[in-house]
Parts: sequence; structure tokens; C-alpha cells
Amino acid sequence: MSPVLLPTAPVRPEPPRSRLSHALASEWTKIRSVQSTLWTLASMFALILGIGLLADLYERGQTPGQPYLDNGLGGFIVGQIPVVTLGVLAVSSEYGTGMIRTTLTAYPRRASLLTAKALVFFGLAFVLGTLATGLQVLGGMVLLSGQGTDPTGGQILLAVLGGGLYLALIGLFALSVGTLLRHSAGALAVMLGLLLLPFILALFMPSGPRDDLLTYSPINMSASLYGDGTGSLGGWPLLGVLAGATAVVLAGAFAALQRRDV
Amino acid sequence: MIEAHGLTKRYGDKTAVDDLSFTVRPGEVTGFLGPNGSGKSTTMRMILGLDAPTSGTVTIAGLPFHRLPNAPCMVGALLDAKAVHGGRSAYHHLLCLAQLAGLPRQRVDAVLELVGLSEVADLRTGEFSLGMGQRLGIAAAMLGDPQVLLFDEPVNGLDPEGIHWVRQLMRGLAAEGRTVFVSSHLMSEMAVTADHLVVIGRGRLLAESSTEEFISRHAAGFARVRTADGADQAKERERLTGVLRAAGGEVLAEADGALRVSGLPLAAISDLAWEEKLRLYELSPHQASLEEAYMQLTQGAVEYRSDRNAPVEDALAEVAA
Repeated sequence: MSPVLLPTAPVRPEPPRSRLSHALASEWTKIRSVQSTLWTLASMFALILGIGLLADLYERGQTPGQPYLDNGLGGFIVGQIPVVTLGVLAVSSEYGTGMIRTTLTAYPRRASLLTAKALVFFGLAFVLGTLATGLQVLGGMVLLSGQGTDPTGGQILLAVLGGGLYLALIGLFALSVGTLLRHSAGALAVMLGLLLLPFILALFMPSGPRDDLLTYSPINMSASLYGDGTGSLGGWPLLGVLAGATAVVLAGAFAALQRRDV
Repeated sequence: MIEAHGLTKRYGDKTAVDDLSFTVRPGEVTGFLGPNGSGKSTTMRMILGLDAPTSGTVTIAGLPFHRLPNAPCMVGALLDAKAVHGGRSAYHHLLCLAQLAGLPRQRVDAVLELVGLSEVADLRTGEFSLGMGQRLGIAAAMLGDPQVLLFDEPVNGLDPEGIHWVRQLMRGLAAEGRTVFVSSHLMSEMAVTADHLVVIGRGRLLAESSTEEFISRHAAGFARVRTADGADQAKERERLTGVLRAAGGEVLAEADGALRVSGLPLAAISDLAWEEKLRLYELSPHQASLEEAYMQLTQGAVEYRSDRNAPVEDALAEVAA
């Protein structure tokens, strides 16, 4: 390649000031231009829809009168894992590759950048998560309506919209952990531990701590969305607890990103 | 214009950058020289607001980096060519950076054209060679058409053609009146690229001057002198050596029979030879290289390293004995 011409004229006399909308557009480009986004979201759909519909199909012709909404629970629990993976990678892959230095050189407003990342991820996870839970519940109604006990409107709303919200929140939690730890494998290990350990540990605890661990374990939070939860809190209030916990970790991520050297 | 005042960075009790002050002016290429581990990259990161200084300040156009209204339109930087997501295409990598600055998509096409990567724009950057990666990094730095450019070791891993291209680019950017700050440990490269030098060692400023001044101050020039071939050559050489030394010159014998003379101008050497009726077959001026000047100046840092290795060497000697 021969030496090339140099640009002589400035791009524009007055460059646009950095704005949040710029970071939002950039983060949207980032998340849609890597294969890992496609694979994690396809896995989420495959697990939530696939396992849910298999359970529905299995229940056809079995004992009539059973509620069938909770057939979606198994797929929903494992379907969180790819969402959490995507959340972690949204930030930690930038640290892993060193891209974060390029990004922050182009956009030094760190809080604004993390806000954009969080918004883009949350929006994507919420829309596609709700679509997945919605299709799964719809599939159950098509396959089992008339045979089993149909869910009420409130139950459907909690499973579909609450399910989408839960997926987006747990993914945002993972994104915050990824920001704090800056390391993909480490952050994923922490997230898997948080998802699975409280429920497992509760089995070996005396009744006091066991009930609390069970109630606030992500597995019970998921189950309560499908009407299968235990404990004093259920459904929307538990989602509120998850939202609160996510807000705390996200605040920690903001503080860490502001303070640390990159 | 980049201005550093008393810039200091400590990690625990280790001081990476120590009270560093320098100015990088527009319209010239300023080379940033120092041995490995001397604090060049840390300084670059502080200029770009990635690392916070322990004390001191550094500004670009009078503002700290995070206060610039739109950083990419004022400052372009290539820190590490491998710092890209290997799964993203070159086009999308540049697009997300352009969007961060609110720049139109056409700028992406323009910089791809500039660095000659248009044809591989849709290829994932993980498949790029080191040279292509450097070009991509330079493309990213040029997106906002900035007036200030920072390059950290831009010719690392490039082939001679790539090195030539980067050199031309930097010279061209400076000729357009931009501020170009380039770090390197390749002295020979800086000798032909940089107008001005900032030299550091162990985090401290060792020298800040024009390249020419740096060479003339830190490495003396010398003359190569050869007496006429023939049976008497050895004798004549001795006579000349005596005369030159008497006149205050420093004379060393070179392996090929010539003399290396410093401390005397060429004219004086010629006059002294003529007075002695000695014919000269060679009398040539030699400029000390930037490399020699640099080695001389940074000897402290190098010796410091040798000292630290000394116990290991002693131990090895003991084992050998």
C-alpha cells in the first residue's frame, strides 16, 4: 500500500459535544456487532421456549385439571444463565481485550458511559426476555388450554412481564459484577454462585436462616413468578427486592469505574 | 499543545513517574524516549485521563482530558493496537467509536480509506495481522480529525514499508500544524522522525530539547582520518597521532587502520597534517547517532538494572566455581 493522502479539512468547524445519546448509539452498535450476543440470546430462547414447550407436550393427555403455567419454570431457571453471561461480557470483554481504554479515551465521561451500557443491555434483555416468556406462556395455553387449569390474567402478567423484568434485572446485576471484577471468568463464577448456592446451602441450614435463604434465593424468586414460590414474600415484592439489590451493586460499579485507573 | 507539570504516579512505594514536566508543541513531531519500564506508557495513560496522577497535572489545549468537550475531535490516540474486540469487524469497531463522538458514518469510510483497510473492513479484527492492527488503531485515532495525536510505539511489529508509512503519516500530520507525540524505544526511528525529544529514565525527565541539540549535547561528533597507503603508513600514523594529541585532540585507532579523532575541527586536522607533510586519504566527518546519545544519557538507568542483577550473577559465579 502506498502512502495515502492526509485529511486536511477539519470534519466540522464545531465538533458536537459528547452526549449520552452518542454513547447509547455506540453501545447499541457494540452489542449487536459481536457473535456472543447472538449466541447467548439464542440460547436463552432455546432454553426458555424449548424446555417449557417440552414440558407442556409431556403433560398433554396426562391427569386433567393440573395448572400448567409452571411448566415454564425449569426453562426459565436455566435460561437465566445465558442472560447473565451476556451481562457479564458486556463490560468484562472490554477489559479482557483492552477495548475499555480505547472507549474511555473516546468518551471520558465514565458514569455516562456505564449508564449507556446499562440502558442498552437492560432494554435488550427486557424486550427479548419478555418475548421469550410470553411465547412460552402462549405455547402452553395453545397446547393445554381446556385440559389443565388456565392461569389468571394476574398470573400471566407476573410470569410474562415479571419474567422479562427479572431476566433484565439479573443480567444488569451481572453487568455490574462484571464492571466491579473486570474479569469474565471470575464474574461468571460469582454470578453462577449467586444464582445457585443460596438454594443449595439452604438445604443444609437450620430452619431460621434456611427460610430466609430460600425466600431470597434467585431460584425461589423465579419460582414465585410462576406461582410456585415459598416464603412470606412472593412475585412482585420479590422483584422489588431484586431491583433493590441490583441498584446497590450497580451503584458500586459506578463508584468503582469513576475512581479506578483503567 | 500538551503540558505536563510535576506529573507524578506512585503505585504503593514504587514511583513510576516522578515529577515530570514537559511541553509538546504543535507543528512538530515530539519523540518520547525511554528504556522499557521508564514510565512512558503510564505518562501516556495520564495524559488521556485513564490513570489519575498521584500529584501534578497534565492538560491538552489547557484542559484536563475529561474536561474536553469532545475528546475524539481534539485528541486521537493509539495506545495498544491489540486493544480491540477480535470478534467485531473493523467497520463496526470504528463505527462504535465514531458514534461515541457523534461523528457521521462517512468518517468511518474516510479513515478506512486513509489507512488502506477499506477492502478488509468487514473482516473480524481477530483475523488481522499486527500491521493491519496498527493501521486500524491509527484509523481510530484519526476518526475525529484531531489536532493532537498520541502514538504509543506505533511502529512495533511493522514491516519496513509499514514503518515508512507511519513515519510519513506522522511527518505529514505535524506539517499540517498538528501536535504529534510519539513514544518509542527505537532510537534510529526517532532520529529520522522526531523534531523534538522528551527523554525519560526511571520516571524522571532526563532531557527535553530539539533532536539536533540532543545529539550534539549528549554525543560528540568525530572525524575519521586515514594516512596515505604505503610502506610508511604505520609510521606516518604514529606521527599524526602525536601531533593531533599535542594539539588537544582525542585519538583512537580504528580496526581498519584509520584514526578516530574527536575534539578537533576537520580544518585543524587537515592543517596539522599539512604542516607535517602528511598526505591524507580520508578525512570524513561523522555525526554521533541518536542511539549513542541516548545510550550515554540513559546509562544510569541501565546500570541501575545491572546492579539489581548483580546478586544473581554472583550466585551464578559461585555455582560455576
